[in-house]
Amino acid sequence: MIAFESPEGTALRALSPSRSATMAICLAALSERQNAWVSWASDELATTAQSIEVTALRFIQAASDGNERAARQLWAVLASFPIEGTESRIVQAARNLRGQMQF
Amino acid sequence: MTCKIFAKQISISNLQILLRRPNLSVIYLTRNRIDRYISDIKGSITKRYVQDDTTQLRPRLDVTKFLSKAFQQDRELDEMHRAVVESGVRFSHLRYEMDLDQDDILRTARVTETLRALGHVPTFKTIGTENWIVKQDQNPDWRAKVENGFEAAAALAGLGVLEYAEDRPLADLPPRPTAVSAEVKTPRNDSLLDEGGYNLAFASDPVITFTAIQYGRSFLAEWMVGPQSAFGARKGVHFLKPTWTMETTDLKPLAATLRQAEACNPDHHFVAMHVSDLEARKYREVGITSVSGNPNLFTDERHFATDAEPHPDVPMSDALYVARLAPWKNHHLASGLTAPLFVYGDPREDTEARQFDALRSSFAQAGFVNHSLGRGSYHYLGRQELASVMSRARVSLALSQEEGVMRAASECLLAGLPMVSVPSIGGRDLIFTTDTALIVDATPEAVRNGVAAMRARNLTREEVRRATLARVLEERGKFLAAANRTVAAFLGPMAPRITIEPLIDFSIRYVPLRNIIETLV
Repeated sequence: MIAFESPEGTALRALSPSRSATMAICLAALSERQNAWVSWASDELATTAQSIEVTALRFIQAASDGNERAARQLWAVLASFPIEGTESRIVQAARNLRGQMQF
Repeated sequence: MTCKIFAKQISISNLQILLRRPNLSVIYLTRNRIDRYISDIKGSITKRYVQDDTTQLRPRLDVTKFLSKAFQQDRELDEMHRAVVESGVRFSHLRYEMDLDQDDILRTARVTETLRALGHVPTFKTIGTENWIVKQDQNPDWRAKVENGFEAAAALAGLGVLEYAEDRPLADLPPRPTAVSAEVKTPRNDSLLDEGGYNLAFASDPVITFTAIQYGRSFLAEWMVGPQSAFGARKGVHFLKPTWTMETTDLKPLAATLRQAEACNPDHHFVAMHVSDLEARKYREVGITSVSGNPNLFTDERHFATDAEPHPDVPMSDALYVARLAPWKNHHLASGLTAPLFVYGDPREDTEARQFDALRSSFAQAGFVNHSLGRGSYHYLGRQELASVMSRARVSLALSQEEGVMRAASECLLAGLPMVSVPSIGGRDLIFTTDTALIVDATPEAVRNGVAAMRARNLTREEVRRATLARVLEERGKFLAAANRTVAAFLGPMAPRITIEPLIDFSIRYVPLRNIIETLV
């Protein structure tokens, strides 16, 4: 993933990515440990209403940070959604990650 | 009404007006972002947006312009979706690539699934397709549709948005509104009270109701979704009785509705009534509490005696089939019998009228009791007259393979007619005994042999009724124990006890939801 402060990165942010795009960027940044992008995306999504995707991203972030307590709580929230009916990559990623965890 | 709306073709305020129409539902019809954009730029070059095969046309893709447009479309669709959610209408999805660009069988299945999720039971007369890919571009991979596909894909991957580009808008939405929130701002939808019709208010404080699940929906639960608790400070338990087997129904939408209704109405709980272990498991998997509760336990045995005077105008017959004239009732399986009697509802609907005509022309030997007693016109049989017609038959039939519990099964058995059934789901076999009912293969020969075998048993009608009633009473006891345990668990030990008397025949007594709500609110 390109650097946060690169010209392309700046140009991308100047386009005001939509909610869905920001979540996609956040997922890519989490998997590549691009903290500046994660931080930017999290700020952008902070005002977004809670959704399955946002919760899943927060779960992935907490798990990546090794914050097991937060991950457990976020998984409990995520499990309250009927996630089996969704096919989104973000929810799939969260579910795969949950399968590797020990709580 | 079907109305196809493209993004940007309607203002949000006009969409909101449209969404207020009764019984409306929304289907999002989407393509992945990058394919849609490429179609768009090709259309702007050829000036023809449909019917053209543009495979040979390979323009350059400007990644920045694509992203700018995609972000803008996301925002427009998000705004439309917000209006849909706030209006409270049901919604579902169809995707061009996954659902429609398929062979006829798969496409029909996908569309059926989508419509069923919205509570519709589709009947397809013709099937067609827009054949989206072929009329636009025969390349299945978007990279081959433009001059710089692989370069553009690398750029999108570098920005972390390649998967976003290849995904469809609104992909992150669940199939139906599912947010469990008590913060519903839209008013309660009173038009739902006119849906469905077999309901019972068992107690008013705490509130205990018995209402139907129809087409996979609980109209009571949907109505209870609103800004304030529907029943004030009172607690409640709401039993839900499906009118059709739930073994083949996707229960996730129902579960989502029940959760939302419970969130809007603290201390109110929904309890489904299952008729099989599979149904119980399906409810459990989506988090719906259920108790064993077969509606055939509520048939009033006092109306079905074994000694009714035989009807003077109906000939004696080996077999009687009490069933509406619907194709899934499988009347044709009685074709091996000499002169079966058919009793049915008025075939006013097109499908049933066609079925009636088809059966009459192919089944010259059968007795169409309602029309023969009406001298060619439909004649309704009250319970007393139905009992006297039952006295003209030796065996009763149950030939459908999928439906609800089939009320006529309990009525015939309680009238003392042993039963020949085919394998079925829906729960009618709960009150069968090995002596009084035979389950045979779903073929005319097996049904004919089954009727002969049942006749050879020489059971008296009193024996059949007694055995059936013993099963009914045993299962009623189990149901009451489970229902009262559940009510006590939710409402405490002082909760009213469920008794059988008010429930007798409630599942066939037409009481609109509006009537019971007016007595409770």
